[in-house]
Amino acid sequence: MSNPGDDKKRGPIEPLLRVEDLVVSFATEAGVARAVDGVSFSIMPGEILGVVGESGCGKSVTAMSLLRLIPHPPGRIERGCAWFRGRDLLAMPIDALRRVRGREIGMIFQEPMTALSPLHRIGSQLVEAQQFHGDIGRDQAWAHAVRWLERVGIPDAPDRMYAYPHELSGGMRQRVMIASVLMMEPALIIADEPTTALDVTIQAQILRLLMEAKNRDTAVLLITHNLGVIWETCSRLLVMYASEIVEQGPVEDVFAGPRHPYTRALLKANPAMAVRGGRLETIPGQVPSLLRRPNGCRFADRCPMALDTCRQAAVPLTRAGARSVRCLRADAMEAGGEMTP
Amino acid sequence: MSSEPLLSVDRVNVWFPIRRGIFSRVRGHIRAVQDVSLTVQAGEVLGLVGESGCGKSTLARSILMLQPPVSGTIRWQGRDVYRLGGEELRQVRRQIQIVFQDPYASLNPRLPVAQIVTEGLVAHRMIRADQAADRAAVLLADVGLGTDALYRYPHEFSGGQRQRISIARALSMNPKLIVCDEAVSALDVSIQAQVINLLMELRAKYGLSYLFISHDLSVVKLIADRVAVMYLGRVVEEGPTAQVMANPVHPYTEALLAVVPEVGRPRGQLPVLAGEIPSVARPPAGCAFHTRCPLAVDRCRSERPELAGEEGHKASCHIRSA
Repeated sequence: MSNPGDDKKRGPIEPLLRVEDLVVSFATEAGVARAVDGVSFSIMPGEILGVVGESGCGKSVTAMSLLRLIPHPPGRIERGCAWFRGRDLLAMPIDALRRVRGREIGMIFQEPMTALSPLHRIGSQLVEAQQFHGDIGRDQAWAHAVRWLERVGIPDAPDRMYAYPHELSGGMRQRVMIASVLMMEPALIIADEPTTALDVTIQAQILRLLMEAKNRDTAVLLITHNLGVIWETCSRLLVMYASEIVEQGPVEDVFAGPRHPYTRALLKANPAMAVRGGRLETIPGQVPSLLRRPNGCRFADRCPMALDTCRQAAVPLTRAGARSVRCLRADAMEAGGEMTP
Repeated sequence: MSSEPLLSVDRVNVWFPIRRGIFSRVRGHIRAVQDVSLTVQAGEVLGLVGESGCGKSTLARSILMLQPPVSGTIRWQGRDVYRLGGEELRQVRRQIQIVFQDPYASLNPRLPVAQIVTEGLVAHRMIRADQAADRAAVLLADVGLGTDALYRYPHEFSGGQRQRISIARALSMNPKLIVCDEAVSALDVSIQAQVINLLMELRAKYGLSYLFISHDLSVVKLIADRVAVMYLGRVVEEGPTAQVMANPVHPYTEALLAVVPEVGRPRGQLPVLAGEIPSVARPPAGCAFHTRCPLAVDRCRSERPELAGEEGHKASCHIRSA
């Protein structure tokens, strides 16, 4: 295969993380909303797995649930397992999970101030994180932190250790947060829209850092709505729609021949793929409400290929080789590609 | 070009004072916009691109008559906008409208949609209050919203719908130019596509011009007739979009285009532009980009290049010329 993620020759290896049938719900005044509904996937060491989907599709809730960062109440992990190095992240005692967070699984957020304290200098935050997780001297931890700030491209790193977060630009804060994650050399990084708020030149720097981490055999779960970012960095992707995975497969294959009409619509709405002067393709209608999911395919009401059978019963995610798709008309999509019933 | 441009910005400088100490003495200036000249023809879409802090939004504020420049002139159909008064000023204010990036922050949460989109009309005494509802319905229809939206409040709408309401509000004044400041940047891909299509339909229908400010080059590539690239307060390259995108002259433009991950490119080969954007308070001498430029020579560090080139396509670089 020619994907960036699996260019190294390996024997059969175990997934680093295996998520099975994850269901997360939120109690609201109007009823119980399932934000994640039966999501299963796995990530190999040294793989960047992309998760793409629009606002509210459940991609961030999936990520937050893995480290049990969903506020409870109203959120609740109803069922599912997340096997990581032989332990279930969703069932282990919370004290044990605290040892995993940051040390074995790092998390990068879109907004760096959710992870950095405004009241403490950068240096003391980076040192504290190391000392929480291991028996390391202050000087040694300080030097390690400086080294990582330099690696993520912070100029005058030894001086910046004394800065407060508000004294840095947004792009620099983001890189400080990324340094704080990378310096722990976690086995898995969960990155939720890590570059969305950044300028394109800074975005390229951050993506380079994630690629370097991957080359050191770190696995990355990369959540983004930017298809270009997925294409550039990921070996495989999951497409989520209305709380479910609707398509999964190697990036090049899925982009070349999407098997779910939603994936195809997303690709066509991407301005980078459109022709100048022409209309961009859009998706008619709206995502069904979290509280009133249809019985059958959740995309059917917006799908140009939907048949009556699509609306009758839930459509299973069907696997074929390295790909899976949740669509009764996947073969028709592949065969002709005509967007009509 | 043919006739008088709709908007012409001529060597405009916008500076902000830096005040320090107990007497708030002015210790220097942030030169947010420096010597910028641009024109927008009637019916044209001018894309304005650049990274955070490059001055593109400040320039937009000056054009909207919200931030007077320290020097230079901004002309609307030949008249200096900062010398207008009375009815003339009110007329120009109606003709230039803006749509902001954040549709959550730019709509008053306490007003129903009908009032939001007609507030300007009532303030300018273009309609009577009792005509507002009918007019609002027409405006909302223009942006693809039904009459059921009239008496609902902003929080009841999604991001894309709110942006439609912002556009309807801008349209209410029968503008000639709409400044779109990152107007589609916060939207999901499929919603973004809908709003871009709407903007293009309205342009065709009403002969609108747009000053389209964005950091997303793929969107600008799609809809702008001409594009201007800003770096640290200055325009470093300007020209017809297709030409600039296909043959960027300035190394910064080239880098901006190269670092955008796009589907279909060779994968895993994204180049990285090293270094930081320098502080606007202390811009580097010579060419402001020399600290990050792979082509920089001694001359670039001391002497500032002028914007020069063929008619239409200009760039400011000592090494390469348009």
